[in-house]
Amino acid sequence: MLLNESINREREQKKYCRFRKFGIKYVDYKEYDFLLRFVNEQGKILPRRLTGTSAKYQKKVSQAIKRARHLAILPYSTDDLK
Amino acid sequence: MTPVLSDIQVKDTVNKYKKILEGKDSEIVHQEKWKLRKLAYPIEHKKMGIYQIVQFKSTPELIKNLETEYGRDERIMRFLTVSLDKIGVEYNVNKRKIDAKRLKTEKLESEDKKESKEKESKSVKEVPSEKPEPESGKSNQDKTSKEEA
Repeated sequence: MLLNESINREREQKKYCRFRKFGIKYVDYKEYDFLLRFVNEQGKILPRRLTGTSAKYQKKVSQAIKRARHLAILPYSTDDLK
Repeated sequence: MTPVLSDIQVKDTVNKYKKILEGKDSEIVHQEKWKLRKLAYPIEHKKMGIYQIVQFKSTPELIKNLETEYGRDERIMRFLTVSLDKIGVEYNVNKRKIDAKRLKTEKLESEDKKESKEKESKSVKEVPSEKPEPESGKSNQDKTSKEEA
């Protein structure tokens, strides 16, 4: 624990699933800008613990990303995506 | 910038698939054309592609035929057919509304009032569908291959 950190550190940085919170139900594989948030600089899909999404939506996101990769909207692997 | 496939060729290929779709049991709900777009990785040694989206309702047999036709056509590099459940259908209906509104406001800002009135009458009519609507995702067309409008 750092000196100036409060004891309830975990509660302050509460993670939430952005789909549940904002009521988004459909993940569109055509939206390049939206899907970029779930992908790292090398084009790899980010794990749930980093993005905070729930299991149900993580599956939809990864399915959308794979479709986008098939249609060359997103790359399979690069070095300079962002 | 002129794509390898000329506009006429693009339209020809699109019309070809439209005819298949407009046959007996199917209905085209929406069709959209994207600008020439840079691909994330080269396909068939090409770096740009033309995308087309078609949303339609049809029977499974028609879809099979469609896909074999896509495979045979040299002009189409990639295709993806997706079936939409009701959430997907709702999403697309809303998206079309938003796009139509956005186009309207853009037109109003840049052009005369008369032209904006014309645009309003042409706006897309939404067809609420109960069946799962298969959405034929982009067909990536090659510049060298024929075009689909």
